[in-house]
Amino acid sequence: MTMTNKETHHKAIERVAEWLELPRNEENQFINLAYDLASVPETNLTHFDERYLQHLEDNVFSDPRLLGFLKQSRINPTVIEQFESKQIPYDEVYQQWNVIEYSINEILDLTMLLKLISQYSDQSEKGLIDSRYRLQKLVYLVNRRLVKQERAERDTAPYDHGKLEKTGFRYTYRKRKSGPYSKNLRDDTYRLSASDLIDEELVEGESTPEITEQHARLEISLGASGRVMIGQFHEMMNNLETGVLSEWESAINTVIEDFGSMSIEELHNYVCDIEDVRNADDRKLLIRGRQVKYDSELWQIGTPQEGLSHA
Amino acid sequence: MPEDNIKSDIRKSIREEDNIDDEYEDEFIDILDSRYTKLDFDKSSVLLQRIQIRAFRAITDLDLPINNQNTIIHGKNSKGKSSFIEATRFNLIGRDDDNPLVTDAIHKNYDKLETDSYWLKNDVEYKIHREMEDIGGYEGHHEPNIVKYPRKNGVPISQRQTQANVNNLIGYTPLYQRGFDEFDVFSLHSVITGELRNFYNCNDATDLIDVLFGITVTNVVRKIEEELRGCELDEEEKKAKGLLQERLQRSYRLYEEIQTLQDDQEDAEEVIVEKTKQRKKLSHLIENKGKVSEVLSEKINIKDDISDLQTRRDEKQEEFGSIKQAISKVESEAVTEDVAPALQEMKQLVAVPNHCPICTTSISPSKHEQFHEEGDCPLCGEEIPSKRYDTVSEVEEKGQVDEKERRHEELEELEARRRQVKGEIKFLNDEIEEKKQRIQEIERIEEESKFFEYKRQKKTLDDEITQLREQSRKIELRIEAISEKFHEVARDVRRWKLLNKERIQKEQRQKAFEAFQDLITREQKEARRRVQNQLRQRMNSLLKVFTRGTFETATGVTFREDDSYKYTVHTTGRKKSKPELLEETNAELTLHMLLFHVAVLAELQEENSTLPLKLVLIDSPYGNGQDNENAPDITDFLLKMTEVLDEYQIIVAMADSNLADQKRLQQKYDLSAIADYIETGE
Repeated sequence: MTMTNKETHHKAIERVAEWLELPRNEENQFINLAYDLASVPETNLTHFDERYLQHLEDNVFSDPRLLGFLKQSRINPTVIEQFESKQIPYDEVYQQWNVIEYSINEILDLTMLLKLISQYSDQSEKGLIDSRYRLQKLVYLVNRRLVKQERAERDTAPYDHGKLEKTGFRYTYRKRKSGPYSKNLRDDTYRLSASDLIDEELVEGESTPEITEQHARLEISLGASGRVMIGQFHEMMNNLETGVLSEWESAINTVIEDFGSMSIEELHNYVCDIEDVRNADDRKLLIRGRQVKYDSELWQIGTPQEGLSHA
Repeated sequence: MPEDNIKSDIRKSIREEDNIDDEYEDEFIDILDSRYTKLDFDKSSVLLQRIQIRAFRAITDLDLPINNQNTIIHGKNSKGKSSFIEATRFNLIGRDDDNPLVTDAIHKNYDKLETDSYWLKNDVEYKIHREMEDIGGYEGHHEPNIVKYPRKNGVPISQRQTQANVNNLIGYTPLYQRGFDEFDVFSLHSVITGELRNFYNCNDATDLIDVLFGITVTNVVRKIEEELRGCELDEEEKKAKGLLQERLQRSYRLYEEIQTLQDDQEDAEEVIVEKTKQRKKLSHLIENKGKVSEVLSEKINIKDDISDLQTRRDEKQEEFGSIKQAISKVESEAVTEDVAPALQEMKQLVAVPNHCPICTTSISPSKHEQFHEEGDCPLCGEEIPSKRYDTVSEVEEKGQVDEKERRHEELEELEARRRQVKGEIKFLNDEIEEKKQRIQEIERIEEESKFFEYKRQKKTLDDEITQLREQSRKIELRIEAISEKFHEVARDVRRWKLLNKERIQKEQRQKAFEAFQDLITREQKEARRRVQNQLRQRMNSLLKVFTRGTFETATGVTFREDDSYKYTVHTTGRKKSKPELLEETNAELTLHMLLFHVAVLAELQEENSTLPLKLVLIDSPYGNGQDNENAPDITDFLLKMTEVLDEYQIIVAMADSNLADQKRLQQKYDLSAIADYIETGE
């Protein structure tokens, strides 16, 4: 990660200046003095990097000229002491806020899902996915494709989901009236929608086998944020190098290529005619969600029981 | 031919005779020497003086003096006078237990009978006392009592002698010594109704006559005969030859049987030895089962090893799996690395929702503020679970820059570990494979060792040996049983061999004696012809006395050719009269016996040396009935007897009814009516 610019360095100094609650003109004098003192033209450090902050403490905020300025500005001596002793409470100085926490795996799913929506949209006539139904089935077909691909080692019992064990969406599919359906996928769709990454537009009068689409279709397209993000990372996300991701990508590409031009009806016929689907009872597990998690938690393989209960 | 010449001739013959073995010659010559001698009789006569009889049959008490004269005793019935003659014989020679003339000798009113006879010899008087008591059997008759000078000596009756003493007195001893029976000898002196042929028919009659007439060779013959009787085979000796043969054959059979059994036993023992050897060999092989069991325990050990190795391998495989998973994890971390900026962006984008995905309403600033400050969901307003939200700061996390490097190092480390574990698993698999091969090898060894086959064979051998031992033992028992039988038979064989040897000796001896006898009998026959001639002439002359009765037409006497003194009286009608063919009660037999006895006694009277006892007892010469036909002849003969036997005392007992010729008989006999001496209270 390489992110260096003057502004970011300014930002750290600005935050400290804000924290000192100086009058506007004095604040500007402080920022300019500190910036001059910092005199770090090129560094690999970000403005939030602790090493950079340490550098500021050691070489800038403890500088006698700066300390003299602070005394002149009648700053609380206790605070000046913190400057002298190089113990500036950055936590207080810096901004803090709450965020919804997602694991890296969930983020990866969301990202790859956005990529699928984007890619499908790009090759479709209307530049979107015409229904939640189609999205469900496309993702299913991607995962199913990965299931059918042999892995080098087969060591996950009792299910062997081929390459899906290592890559692909972590969604669990069960058989519904509409065919293979995943609640996980639905939830992720909501998440993307809530953050403007996708938009869902209701098209009255048209239907799909999907329960929520009996009277109206929901067309899915990239939202404002989604378009920005795809735009920003387009190149990166279309040239995935890592083995597992390239296989995931390749599955997505193949599925879009094979099924992109199918009408809903054709797709429905095709999916419902897949042997597993046709033979399965209602609510029967079709694809178990991937166990492999790409996060900092301990990677673990579920026992058969756990696998089932998880499913 | 003089006796001595005869003797030396015979001696010479004994030496020369082929049929007499050398071993017998000396014995025969000894016999010849000792036996070829004339009997030496006492020269002086023994004469009866008096006889006293008490409680003898019909006689209760009789005392009869004999006056050196021929005497006729007569009585009413036959009992008394017969009893007199019987009592006289009893007194001299006792009771013949084998042929008792009288069964109830003791008078019914007495417990004891007594006889006393008084004799004169060389002018010396002797008394012979003999008594008999009935105490459930007759006692005492064989213990006579002889008293010399009875008138002077009152020797107590209780002092008893033996018959030998009497024999000495009456001169029977030389004959007794030659084995002649006193009763046979005495029968020469008596012609008694009912036992007329006692002398003529007795076994020794011929020999007795020989001896009495000085045929000394008869003594030798008698000795030979005695020896020959000794050579007679008893019942066992007769059977000896046959039984010995039979026993021998039986013993051979038993011996053969034993031999066969011993062979069988030896065979069995040999087989036992062979089998035992085999069994030992097998035992050795089985003992080496140590080796086999070593192999077995090795097998078990190896199986344990394999199990351990498999466990270890499983552990390693698990570890391998873990490593792989760890690698996957690191790789998956790398996955996020690939698209990290995009993910970072995505994370920021989804960190705070902008609007509700359902109603699409935008989130109000107050909801956002609530979210940031309180952690409440900007959509539903509920408190977000702590793990679902996080507080972020502008300060970056430390060390994020080195993440890629760290991951790379970790990956390399894991890869190395993975290779190592893989190697270890391969090693373990190789080891397991090796151990499995070893087990296969062991199983092959096991099969080769044929341990169980050996055990089975050993068991079979054990059974066979036991069976053979049992068989051998049975054979041994059988051998023992047969051996016992064999020994029994062997003892029998020995016994029969001894008996057979005796038999052979006896037969050889018999043959020798018979040869000896042949030599002697030639001489004896010659001598006998001489005596027969004498007797024939005497009898022919005596026959002339019979002029009116049975022997009226008698022409002469001939003796048989059979070397006995049996004779035949020939008559003019070519009728032949033989005493042995006549009935005992036939009066003709009385005539014969009177003729024969008188002839013999008369001839003996002519001999130089003869019996000193000169008594002739004749009982009922006329028979018990009246023999009118022969009575005159008998009377003539009784009268003639006194002339012919002039040295003898003749005592005749007869019934009163036979006294028709009393007056004629009185010329030569004293008549004594027995009634005077007999108590006739029957």
